[in-house]
Amino acid sequence: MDKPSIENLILEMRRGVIVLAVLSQCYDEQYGYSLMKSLSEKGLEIDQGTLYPLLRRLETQGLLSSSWRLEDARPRRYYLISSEGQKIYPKLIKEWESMVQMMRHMLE
Amino acid sequence: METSNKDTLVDRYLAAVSDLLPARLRKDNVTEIRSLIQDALDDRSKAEGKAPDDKMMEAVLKEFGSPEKIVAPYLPEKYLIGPRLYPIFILVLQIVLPIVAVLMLLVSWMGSIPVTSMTAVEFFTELAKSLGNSFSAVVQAFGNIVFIFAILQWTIPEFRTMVEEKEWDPHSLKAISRPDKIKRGELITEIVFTFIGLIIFNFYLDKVGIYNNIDGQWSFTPILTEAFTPYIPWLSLLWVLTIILDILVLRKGAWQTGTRWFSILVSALNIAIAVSLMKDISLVYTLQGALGYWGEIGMFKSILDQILIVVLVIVIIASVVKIAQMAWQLIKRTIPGTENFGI
Repeated sequence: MDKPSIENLILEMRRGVIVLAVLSQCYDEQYGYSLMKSLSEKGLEIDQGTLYPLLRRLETQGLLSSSWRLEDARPRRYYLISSEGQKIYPKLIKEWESMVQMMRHMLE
Repeated sequence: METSNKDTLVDRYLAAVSDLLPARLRKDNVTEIRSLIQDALDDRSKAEGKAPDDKMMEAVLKEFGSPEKIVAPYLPEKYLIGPRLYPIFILVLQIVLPIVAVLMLLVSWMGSIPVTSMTAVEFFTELAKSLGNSFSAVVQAFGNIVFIFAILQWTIPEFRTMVEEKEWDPHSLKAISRPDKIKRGELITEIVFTFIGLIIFNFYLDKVGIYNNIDGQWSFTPILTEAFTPYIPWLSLLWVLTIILDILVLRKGAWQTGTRWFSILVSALNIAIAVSLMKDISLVYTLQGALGYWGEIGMFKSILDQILIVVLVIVIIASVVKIAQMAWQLIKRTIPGTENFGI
């Protein structure tokens, strides 16, 4: 039988909040690396392999928009929450708060 | 850091990434990954307080992981036969492969030299050849089915997407498979007919034959020959064992380890008798005097021989399948976590 390590269990729990965390940081324009650092500074460590495809997925879903910009002779793709994303974001926060409350109640 | 070396390493990395990406995703993603690597390198250089060097670049690339790893999340999942087609694929295999196996076995057997003139060695050689042909045909059929489904997977866009959740009906749930459960009706029917056979072949063998009513007069011609006599004790043993097995299973109410072993023994005896009968098939019965003109024609008798051989082959295959099923249930009991649900 596969015994999940504590690290894997924590990773699975965190996976559920990544979308909300990323949207929360994209009210200001962010490029991939700056976003990763920003999340890391706030305590959410996320590897490139997870973050970058997620950004593309959120863009495809219309929650983020992106644009290329040349900075220091280097092209960078900047991501910003879209109007659709801004509509969904408060709903996700509401859901998150109700989940936190539910879990607190459950774990009491 | 030697710029040329650094470029070479990154370029090689990005070239490998580019090769793994589909053309439509290539340009955009490679440019972005290059930019991300550069950012990571700058960050590391700032943290270590020195200019980027080859070691730093190596460490950054290690952090990013292999080209395969970095590319994997960008790619859609690839299947030879996707989840949407897979259940149909399995269903087709379950229908086609047994049919091909049995048909090829029969065709191959019928095409072999007349069984009646075979020695035991020739008989088993032909049987092995027929089984070999059947196996090759099954493998070939499997390959063809996979090929057809792979083409469907690639050419029909609908099959590339995941199955959309339909409204689910609890009544669509399959019945729980209970291999230990017995079918009382079948067992009782088997006991009755086996018992009748046992009585007829032991006490009324001289009554087994063809009955004709010509002009209101009944005539009787026995068809079993002296060559059949040695089979009677063996057939009787088989039938007695079958009745004992059926009664035991009925009493226990379910298949158990002991009765499964008993069943394997009975099936093995069944195979042995059927194989032996196949060898002697032309000798154990006669049509002379039984069917008038038709009974005297050699060709009619030899066609009937072949039909009876086919019937015996089917009996052998059914017994082999039964042994395999019983053996599998016995093996399953020894594997933890594979116990049968239910009884």
